[in-house]
Amino acid sequence: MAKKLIIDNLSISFKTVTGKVQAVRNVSFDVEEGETLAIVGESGSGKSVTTRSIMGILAGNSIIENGQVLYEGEDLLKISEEQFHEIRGNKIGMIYQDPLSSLNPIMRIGRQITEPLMLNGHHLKNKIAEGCNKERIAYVEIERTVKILKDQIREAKKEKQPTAELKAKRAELKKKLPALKKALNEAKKASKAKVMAEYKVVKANADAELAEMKKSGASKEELDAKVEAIKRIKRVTKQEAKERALKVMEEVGIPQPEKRFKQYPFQFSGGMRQRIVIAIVLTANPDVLICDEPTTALDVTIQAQILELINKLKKERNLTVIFITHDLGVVANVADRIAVMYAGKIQEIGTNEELFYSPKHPYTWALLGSMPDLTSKDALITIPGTPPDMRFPPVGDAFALRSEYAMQIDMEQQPPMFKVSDTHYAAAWHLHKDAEEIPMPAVLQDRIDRMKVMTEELRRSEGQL
Amino acid sequence: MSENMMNKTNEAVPVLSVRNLKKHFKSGHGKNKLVVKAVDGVNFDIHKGEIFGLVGESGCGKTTTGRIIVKLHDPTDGTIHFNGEEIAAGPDCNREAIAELKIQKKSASASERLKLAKEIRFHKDEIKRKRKLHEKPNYELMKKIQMIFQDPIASLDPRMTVKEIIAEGLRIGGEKDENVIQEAVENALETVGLVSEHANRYPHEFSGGQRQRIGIARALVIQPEFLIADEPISALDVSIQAQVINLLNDLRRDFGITILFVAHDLSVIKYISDKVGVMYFGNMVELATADELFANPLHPYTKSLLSAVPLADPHYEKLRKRIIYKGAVEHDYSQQEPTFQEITEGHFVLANDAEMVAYRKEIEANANKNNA
Repeated sequence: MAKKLIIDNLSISFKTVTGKVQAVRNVSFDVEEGETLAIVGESGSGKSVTTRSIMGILAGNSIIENGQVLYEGEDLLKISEEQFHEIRGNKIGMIYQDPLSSLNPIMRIGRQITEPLMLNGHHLKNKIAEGCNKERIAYVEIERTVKILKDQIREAKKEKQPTAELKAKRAELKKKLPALKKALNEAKKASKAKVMAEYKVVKANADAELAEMKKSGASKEELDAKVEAIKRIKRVTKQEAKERALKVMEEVGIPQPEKRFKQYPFQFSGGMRQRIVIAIVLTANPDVLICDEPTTALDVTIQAQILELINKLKKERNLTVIFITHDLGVVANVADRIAVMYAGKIQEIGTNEELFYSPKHPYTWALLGSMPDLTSKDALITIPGTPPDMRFPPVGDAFALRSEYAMQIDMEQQPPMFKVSDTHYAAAWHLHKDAEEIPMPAVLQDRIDRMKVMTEELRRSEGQL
Repeated sequence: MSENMMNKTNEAVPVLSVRNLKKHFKSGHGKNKLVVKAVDGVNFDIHKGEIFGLVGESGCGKTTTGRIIVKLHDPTDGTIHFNGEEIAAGPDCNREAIAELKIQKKSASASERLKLAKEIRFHKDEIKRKRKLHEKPNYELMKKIQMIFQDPIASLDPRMTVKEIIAEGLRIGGEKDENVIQEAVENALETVGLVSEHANRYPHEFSGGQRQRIGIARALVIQPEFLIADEPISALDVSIQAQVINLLNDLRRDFGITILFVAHDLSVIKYISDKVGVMYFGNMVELATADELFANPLHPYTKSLLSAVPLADPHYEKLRKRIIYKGAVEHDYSQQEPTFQEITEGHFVLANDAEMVAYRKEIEANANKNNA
């Protein structure tokens, strides 16, 4: 399988009045095509920031310290905003946490679903832009580099460092700009001429056909359909957008889409609203879907429905899904692989089974142990204290201060990712070959055993049926 | 049925007893008139030191029930008794009775009319009496019943310090001595696992879990007998949820507080509660002890809720099938309307006679299976 998305050594900080907040620290993971990766962590662990960097929608005060986000081999952190327009929404779609606040309350549902279709629906314009895309990117990239150099020169001046080299570089690049601009304009013209010529031929043909149909006395419906088809050569018409919207609405399981199309968001329940949000994302036909806590605001039955829907869509459309949540229970059914994040770092990553049946990191233990299940009455494992202040990230293992298993080395040095199996890695010092092994808490082992028995029972009763 | 219920459970008077509680929200007039039956005839008892879990999907009326008990809403019908004393009552049944009596009166003879007029007067007095229950805030009752709200961010005044927030209840209750207040606030903070230095800070300086603790401290400072926890954990992170659940468990053990725990998450409810009531569209459909309910769920809605709880086991999750409840379609109530009746000791379910027979068989089958 091809790797769809690779995050390599990504670090992101936020500039604030009181200092730099290191939200994401050296995060690396990859997602394969058609796979679901779940990122689990407490609020403030950096899971949303990581995925926002994939979408290119980080807040203005963010600084990308280092790292790469590779989507099909292209580094999303380096490309310009113009290029991002091609990817955001069309290739990578995102579902947000709160379905109520991500819909416009005074706009009919139908309009909200068709809006992206209509806005991106001018076929001729799109074709012209496509024709001169190479030239445009070349120009925009140089322009951007010049801007960055300008900032660097200013910084250097502040710190009283030599600026001559940077200035020379900038001057050189600046010289290139006019030529590129000229090339861009020419390419645009050529592209436009070509596209319009093609369009004229097609349109003329269609018009001739229409005239012939009129002569031969076709019915009114047929004529209307033909007129509509001619319009559709130029752009996505309202009717076409509606047809596509209704299809998507049906796909996400909204009953009576015709009626619902004309309603407002407040007339929908929480689960239905979340379906609408998913429908909007799906109209652009993305191949990566990022779900940022899509079920947190919903209750259990609706949550189960939405999870089923995401699973179904994933299979039908071969989507690659990144699923963010703070609840490990939710992902058991959805995820192929799970990454546990804490304090801006991935603490443990492994396949679904590995993480649930043989977790290695104390933080994963605590997360699993803090969930009440349907069978136990033992006291829950709680995590004492609060997550660390990321303005002053701890020197050693970030979780050491809240962990009862912390060793001396945890305080002094950050653990690397130790390999447990080919797919399972964990950042905990006790996995080091010289360290004493710490067994999983008994409560957790009990629960895993109990769940195994329950699974067996279920399997047997299924067999009986 | 209500008397039956009273006798069955301990001889002691329940801390809270809710009978036929109804709350209908009305809006609009004439053609646009809309009545939302948020709570429509709910019965339950809560005994001392018990945690009673109330569960159901959003919009089923569980929060409204809690709010009626703390008297944020006046009930439309039904009564609520707290420690044997009536604290709230709805006048709707009296209104209906009056309307009926008036019709009878029209066709009645002279002697009967007098009797009917007397009855009408009785009902009118009842309405007046019930209205009086809600006229003035009952400060004595406020000290005994407290509520923890769902959203720890919205339920704390951002302009008040933690100390002011927690002490507000005491001051309303008439406490004037600063030293007493200071001590009470410090005690309350300590109980919920915060330190006294936190008292002079503002809510925004705290994390979600800590804010919920402030909300709990505000409820505890008055030393209530009865606590209503309205989805206290649904807005919190999993690890913090565990802190709050353990805290509530400790409170029950150390102070003997009775708790009505409202939530939509069955795994939490099962973990914390002694008894569980399942609500669906304003009705209580099933009521039993937690273990009994999870061992023998009878009502199809309970089953569907149980099947939707996500469990932390991938193999189990892959095998499991979710049961979907389609509402009224699944029941055939054309012959007989369902009532809330006891099926085994302490286990109540909303069903008619035909369904009761089916449910009984199901329990037997379950018991046989477990024995085998």
